[in-house]
Amino acid sequence: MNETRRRRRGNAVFWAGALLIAAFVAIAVIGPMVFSSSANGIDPLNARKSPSLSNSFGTDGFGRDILARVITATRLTLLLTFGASIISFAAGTFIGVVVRLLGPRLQGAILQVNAVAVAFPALILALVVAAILGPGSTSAMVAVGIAGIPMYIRLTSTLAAQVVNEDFVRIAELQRVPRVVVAIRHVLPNVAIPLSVAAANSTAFTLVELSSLSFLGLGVQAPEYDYGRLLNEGLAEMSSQPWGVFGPSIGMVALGLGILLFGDGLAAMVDPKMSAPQGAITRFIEKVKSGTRTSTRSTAEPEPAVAVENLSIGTISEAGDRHTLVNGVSLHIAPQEILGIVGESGSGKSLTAMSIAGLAPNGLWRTASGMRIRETDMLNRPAPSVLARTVSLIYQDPMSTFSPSLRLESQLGDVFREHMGWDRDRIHRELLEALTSLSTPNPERVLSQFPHQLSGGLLQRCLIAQALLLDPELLIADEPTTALDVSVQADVLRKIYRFRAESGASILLISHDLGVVEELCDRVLVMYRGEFVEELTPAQIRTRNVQHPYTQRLLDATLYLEAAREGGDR
Amino acid sequence: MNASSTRLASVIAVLTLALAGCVGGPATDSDTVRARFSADPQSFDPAKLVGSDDYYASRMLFDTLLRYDDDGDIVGGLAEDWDFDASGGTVELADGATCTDGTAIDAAVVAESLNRFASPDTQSGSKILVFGNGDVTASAKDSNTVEISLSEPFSELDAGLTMVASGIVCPAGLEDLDGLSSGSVPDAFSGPFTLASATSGVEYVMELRDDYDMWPDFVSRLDGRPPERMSFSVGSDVATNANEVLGGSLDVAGVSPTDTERFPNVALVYIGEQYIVFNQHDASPFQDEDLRRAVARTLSGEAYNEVTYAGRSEVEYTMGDSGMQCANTDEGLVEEYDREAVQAEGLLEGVEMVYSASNSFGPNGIGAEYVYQELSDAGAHVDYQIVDNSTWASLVLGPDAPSWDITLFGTVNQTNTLWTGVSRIMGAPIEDGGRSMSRADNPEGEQLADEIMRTTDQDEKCATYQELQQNFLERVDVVPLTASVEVFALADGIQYEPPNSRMDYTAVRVAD
Amino acid sequence: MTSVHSTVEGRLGHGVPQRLIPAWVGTPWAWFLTRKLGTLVLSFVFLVIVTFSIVLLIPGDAARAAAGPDASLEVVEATRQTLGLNDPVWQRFLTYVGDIFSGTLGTSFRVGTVSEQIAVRAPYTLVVAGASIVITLVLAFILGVGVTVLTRNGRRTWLAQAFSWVTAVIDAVPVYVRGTLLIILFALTLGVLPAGGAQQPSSYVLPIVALAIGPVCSLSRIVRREAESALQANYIRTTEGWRLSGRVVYLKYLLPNVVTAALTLSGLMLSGMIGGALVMEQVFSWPGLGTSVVNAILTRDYPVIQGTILVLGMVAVIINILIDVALAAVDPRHLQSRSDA
Repeated sequence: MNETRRRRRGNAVFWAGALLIAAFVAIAVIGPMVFSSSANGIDPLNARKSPSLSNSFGTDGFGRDILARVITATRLTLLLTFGASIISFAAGTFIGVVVRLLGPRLQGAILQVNAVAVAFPALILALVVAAILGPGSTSAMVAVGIAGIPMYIRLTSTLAAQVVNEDFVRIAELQRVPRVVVAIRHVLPNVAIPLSVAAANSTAFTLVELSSLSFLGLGVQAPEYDYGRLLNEGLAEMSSQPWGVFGPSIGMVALGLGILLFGDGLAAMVDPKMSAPQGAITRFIEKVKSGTRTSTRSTAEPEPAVAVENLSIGTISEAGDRHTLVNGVSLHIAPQEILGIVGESGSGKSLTAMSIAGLAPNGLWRTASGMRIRETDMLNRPAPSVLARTVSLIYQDPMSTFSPSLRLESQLGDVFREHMGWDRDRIHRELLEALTSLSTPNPERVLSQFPHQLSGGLLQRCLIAQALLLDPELLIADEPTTALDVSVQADVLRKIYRFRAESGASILLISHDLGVVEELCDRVLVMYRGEFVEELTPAQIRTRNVQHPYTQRLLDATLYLEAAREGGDR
Repeated sequence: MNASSTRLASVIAVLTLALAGCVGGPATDSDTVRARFSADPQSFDPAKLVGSDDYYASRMLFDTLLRYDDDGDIVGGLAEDWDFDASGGTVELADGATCTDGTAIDAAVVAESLNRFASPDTQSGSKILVFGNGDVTASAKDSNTVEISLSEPFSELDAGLTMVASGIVCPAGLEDLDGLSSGSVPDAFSGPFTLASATSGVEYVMELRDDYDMWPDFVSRLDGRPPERMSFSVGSDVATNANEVLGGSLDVAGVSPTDTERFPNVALVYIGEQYIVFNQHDASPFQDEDLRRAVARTLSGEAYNEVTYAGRSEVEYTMGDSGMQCANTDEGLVEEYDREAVQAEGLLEGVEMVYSASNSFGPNGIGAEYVYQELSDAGAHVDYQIVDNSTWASLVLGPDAPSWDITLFGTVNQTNTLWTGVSRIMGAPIEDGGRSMSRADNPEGEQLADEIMRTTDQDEKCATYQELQQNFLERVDVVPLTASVEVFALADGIQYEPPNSRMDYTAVRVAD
Repeated sequence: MTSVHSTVEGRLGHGVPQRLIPAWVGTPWAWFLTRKLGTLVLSFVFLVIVTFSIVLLIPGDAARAAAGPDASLEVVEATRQTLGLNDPVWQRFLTYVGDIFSGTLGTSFRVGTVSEQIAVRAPYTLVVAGASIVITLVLAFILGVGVTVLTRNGRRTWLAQAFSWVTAVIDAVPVYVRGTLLIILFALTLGVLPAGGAQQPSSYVLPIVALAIGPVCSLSRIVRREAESALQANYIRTTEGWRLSGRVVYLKYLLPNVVTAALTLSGLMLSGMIGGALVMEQVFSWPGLGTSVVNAILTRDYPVIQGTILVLGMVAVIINILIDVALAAVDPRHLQSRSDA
């Protein structure tokens, strides 16, 4: 969704940050050349003067111009901040990657020790290192740099752990590529991007930490000065020389802000999920009702349970250009009928199904001239409790369908609690019964567990059991077996079959797998580029009696896969 | 403006009101004066005092035999009369002095206390300033007379006995030295206050003794009454101190000398003096008197005063302020400030030197920075070692002579004498058990110093001191800068005139 | 683990075992707590070694610092002997370890034992840091989730923008400047709160606010980011399929998952607060462990340096372990394998 939009926003933030940083770098390069004489030339008898035309921020205890000093201090501030960050980053990343290449024993020990180091407050660590090295700019930089290392070790080794387990690293290791080469060639490039995002954020922290050290008297010492030391000097004389505090504060906040924005922008560009979606989406209008509402339903046929007429779905750009994803489709499902929709991903089949359930993603427009499930007019914004009992859904990835932090019973029960007014006992009893009726072993245990403790097949079965209790008019199953092991696929399909037998609801099955559809469905619609191109019976699929070339290609692909699978088994 | 910040603001406001509401404003208890130590006193044993806060605390708890009055003259404290020469003398005690537990402070008590202080086992760092280098014996001649004898000549005994470190510790304290040190022996005190409670880092409460009646004349003449109680919290940040005095949560506290405009009511206290000392060891460039002179010409006491103390301190022309006995006040004896000339003549151009300084002078060590700035402006190649006070002390006062060439020295002049400074450049060097850090080859000066130690007549002594000051100022063994001062801000209704401008909380008075 | 234990584990999942039946042996919680105990012990050993090494490395002469600048070299040497600084390193280490297990943590070079000093000062630091941590957690979640929900689907763009900018700006201000500004506003201008010291209960307000406000900003940014991505999660879509009300969705489904994600990231920040407390204490002349350790470093009071840093380090480790336990209680997946991420 809207990824480009977010990236663009990420870009704007990124460039704002980059521009700010660039401005500071420019000041750092040019400032000392221009201002060093007024910043460093002492004139003690002209000390602590109020702001004037020649000294717009006033003068300090040596009679030096505060503004010139703030500008000149930029160089050392940048050098120390980036220096410390580079120390943390370089050493931390290096150790982090190397650790991953060590044997498991040593690796575990080092990471444990590192975990302690990470937990230790960085400022205290820096304080100690600064005390050992003696106060001064270099030792402050080294101290803050060292204090930041454990964090990078942890981050790098965690990221590297994910990469090390990936195939290309495994293959490289099988080929006896030396570990160091693996680290440099394969591991580093793959952890580089998330690391740089973290680096940007921690650099802002480094800036503040360096100045805190200066504040405690262990940081930069005269005659050198950075923002932190200027601030510290300023605080003592704040009442008479407020600009001694304001000047470096402004510099520090602006620089910190620049670095933070840079990091946020970088994060948004790399991972759109990490950036907050902004305003643009509001301009997408969801038009539930639109177009002519003339009924095109033929009265001759038996009353279908589900009737959708002329459903179109699409996106709209910021400029107002519409792009159609689903183009005027219509479908009917009889009671107890299982209708399949097949098509490749992006053909619009899930969009169609979700729109029928009233759950289309945000930011899309929809129009339809009619959409009805039994007595419920889906275009007329039905009440949530009606919707909950009209349509049930089964999703593709059972593992992510449930909240990881709640027990199954609690999650499955909410819909009954909220829309059917059942109490806890009844929910428990009914769910047990439903699970038992789907011949689930040890249903009591299933209900008391967390999603990660159960298999995908069991989770899907839970949703089916829930649907049994809700007794909906329509069950939408969106690729219910795709994420499952082959061994349990058949079982889940059987349960859906059983559901149909027991409930009398209509079923809409979405799949890209013709094999599944052929086994389960009474009727199949083939979707291609947002339109239904062909309607088939299971028999037609079995006998490969199809018209449209796209359907033909789908069938070929299935055969090829089946052959491959069978070949692989042997 | 925006929901998040207004919400945050309102939460903070509610919290603030809730917590503020349950206690009301700052407690104003007119019987208690709230002051602040910059660090925890390290010991309540006067013999063991090290930092200035130890000194301030012990001054309240222990009375000395002698003391300075507000004119800088030595007057009686626990003593009524005294008669000293270079090898010791006798002290007549005043009547009526008692310890906290009522024990009379007689000659035996005093002798025992002085012997304990001077004993090598006590390891007091201050002993050398009170009694000189030799062995000390104090004995009770009769119940009112103490006799002190010194094995090496030392003419500054009267000034030495004004020093808080020599304060009289009552028998109860001598029996429990650990308790004395931690302040847990309530009967150890001989001064006007007792230590009512000591909570490290948090609060120290001193209570005025009901039965105390030994106020020196100049103190009892002060307006107002002494506070029933003084409570000391701990904090070293002068900006916070200033804020607290303004905000009403402190009554007396040290503030930055650059931050006095906000306070109508301030007291200036002299701590010691600051000067440049040259290390004249074999490898030092400063064996050369011309180089020392060039350095002196490029440093200005006025500028140093302006930078370090916003001009509130006193420029000195010797190792003591103008109020000190025998101190030189003749500006002509110090080199004239002429940085342009030194730069023009290139006198210090390319001279390599190790300049070691502590970062404790002026806001953020700005005093040390001034000296560095002038030296480098004059073209010297300065290896600038700016360190904290502990590192500086172990470097400059350690046995390793060649580790530095020039330093900015700041004394805590507890005896308020020239001798405290003079003994840093005369006599035995540190590595031989003395105090001298300059290692100068100055037989003439040594001769004069020796003479001073043997002279007890005040006028004669001052004449010799003047010769000595002329000697070391001409040789430029030191470059005097300013007095070390501290500025105390006072709340309304608090009066504080430090006697002789020396720190003494017993002179704090509350206006009625 | 076997299925027998799994049922037990399920029952224990609420955080604390209800009854310590023998069956807890071998349960995931038992394993988990054992591992955490291991971390605690390891951290302790590590910190003991590190704190001991620190004082060997700090330059400056502790004996000179203890004896004072006026002391003769002889007195300095005698002091050195008394303080035990002439002992060989291994003996000093054994003394240190002995002092730790005797509970005194050694005797200060100045007055009293280290544990006495810490006992007096620790409450001041822990109350302020603890209150700030609680305030940070509560406020950051309210703000972060609140702003996310309020700005969901591109509503109230101005709020999203304002939130980002305000939090970033406050976050970029160092704690001592924030503290000073608070003092100027509340103590000097409004006169409602004391500017420093710890003499009255109201003295606690400004230090806590000064310490908490930064982490509130940075953690609420993290919470918001996590909440944004949690809102995209499939299980939220599932609740939409169940047509649950917003209240249930946000409180029951969104919040716990945001809490786990944000808590994972907040461990560092919270132990960092102990470090922030150090600076804050300086600004407010606060009698906590921070001012104590800074003074100890300046006066080379080795036992106090060692003991205080050991205690601060252990507090930080314990905070992190508590966070792990809280995580495991909220989301049992953390029981099984908490990677080092």
